Amino acid sequence: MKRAVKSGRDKRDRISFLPDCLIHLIMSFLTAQEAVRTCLLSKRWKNLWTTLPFLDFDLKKFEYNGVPERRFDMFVSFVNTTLLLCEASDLHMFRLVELRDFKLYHMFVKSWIRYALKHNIKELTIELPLYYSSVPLDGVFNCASLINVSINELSNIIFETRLVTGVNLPCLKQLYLRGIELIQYFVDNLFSGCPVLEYLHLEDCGLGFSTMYSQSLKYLKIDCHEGLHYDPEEQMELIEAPNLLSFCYDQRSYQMGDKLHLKMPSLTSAVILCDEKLQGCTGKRSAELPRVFKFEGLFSGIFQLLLSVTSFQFTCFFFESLPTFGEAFTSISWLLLQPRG
Amino acid sequence: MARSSTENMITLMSSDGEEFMVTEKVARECTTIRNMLEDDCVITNIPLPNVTSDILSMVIEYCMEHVAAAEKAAAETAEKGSSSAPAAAKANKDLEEWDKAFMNVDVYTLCDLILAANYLNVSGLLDLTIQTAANLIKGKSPEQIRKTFHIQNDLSLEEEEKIRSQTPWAFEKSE
Repeated sequence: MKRAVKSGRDKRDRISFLPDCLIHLIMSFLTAQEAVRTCLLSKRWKNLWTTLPFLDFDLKKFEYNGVPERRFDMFVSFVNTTLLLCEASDLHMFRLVELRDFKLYHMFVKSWIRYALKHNIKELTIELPLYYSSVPLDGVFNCASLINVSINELSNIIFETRLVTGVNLPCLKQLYLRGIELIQYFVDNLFSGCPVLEYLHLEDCGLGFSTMYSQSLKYLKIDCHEGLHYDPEEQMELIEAPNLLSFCYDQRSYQMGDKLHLKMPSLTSAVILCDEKLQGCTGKRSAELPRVFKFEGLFSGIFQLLLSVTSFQFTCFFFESLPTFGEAFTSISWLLLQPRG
Repeated sequence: MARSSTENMITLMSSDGEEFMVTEKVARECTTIRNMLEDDCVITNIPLPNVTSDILSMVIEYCMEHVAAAEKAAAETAEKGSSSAPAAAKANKDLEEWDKAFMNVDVYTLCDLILAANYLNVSGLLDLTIQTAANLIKGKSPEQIRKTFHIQNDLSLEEEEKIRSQTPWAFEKSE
């Protein structure tokens, strides 16, 4: 198909004649600083950013050429002024990321997040140390407009959720939590308060609950990359999710209990990464292995499964332990066994 | 690609009166057209008064490529009973490369494509064009952005000074 290019037209301004909503969409891929900077382009652009519903404040990407000691001050001034001049009545996306070593400014952080919560925020991303109580977590977990939430505790300390009293997120579809402690009370509140939650990713979280039940969940990912020192009150025993399609479980770094029962009858894809060292069965042909995972109706619908364990022998044990191997995998189409070195 | 004669063909008419025959599957990539077809399934001729022929031909080219890629992936899955992960990754990468080459257009055409993708509601193409436009703004000074998009600076010096003094933080490293 040939492309006709009319001569001369490629030297004309076209972008300034796009409707505001499309220019805002372009700006949604820029940091707030880059978006605000466009006000110098021309009269048309002067006030365009003030109605921008996408605000991305990223301390790492913040450009500042003055003395490094004043960098935080400048960032705080920038966010404060931007929010002061911002006239968008509804915010679609609000990101506050890479706020490391920001402890002196936690009162500002709290007011910024409150600003977002008051403006019908749909997508919220927070990446900062939580332990200065800089984040109004109660507010976040009760903001009815939220569809997508991502909270990343940057300080590598498990953050306690005992103070979160209730959860009410009727529209929430996606949730990512990192470095958050999940006690039974919070988990129960979470799933009863998020009736349409479909995607849940827990990374480096403190798993201090025994059972998790969700009717709505479709994708669940639990993993841990940091060697966390966490002493749970309770140990994970049962995950029940009747509509779960995909399950990814990486427990190589977790200190686990000796059994985990999974009830996921709709599952079509699973990735399970284990580490025998952490399961207390190193070196012996352990008859205890079946107790590690108990699958109930789990494999009947599965067609993709990746099992990755520390040694191939372990894998064999694992399968020996499954009572009716052939019958269990009736619809599997690929199975990858990957010994870990 | 050879198509079976049983497949429904739809005629799309651009603002300048040019007609494009496409399969229903390709037309359905445009959510706006899909909605029209679902409202009234006997429709075979759709006028698109907001899209010129050169832009429409590009939108169709994009939709055809993406429909073909999806069909190929589905056929492979059906043949082997499964899609092998490396093959799927390669197909994805090929399509990404194609998208990248497809975005090698002047900024005027790019903006027209954004408008058309928005009007016809082709989400993949809208994401691609918006991201491309944003990449052309990223990391540039106002002067460089004006040059890239041929924007006339109609701000007076006083106005410019006033804006700079209002949000001085925004203009670090700007010139």
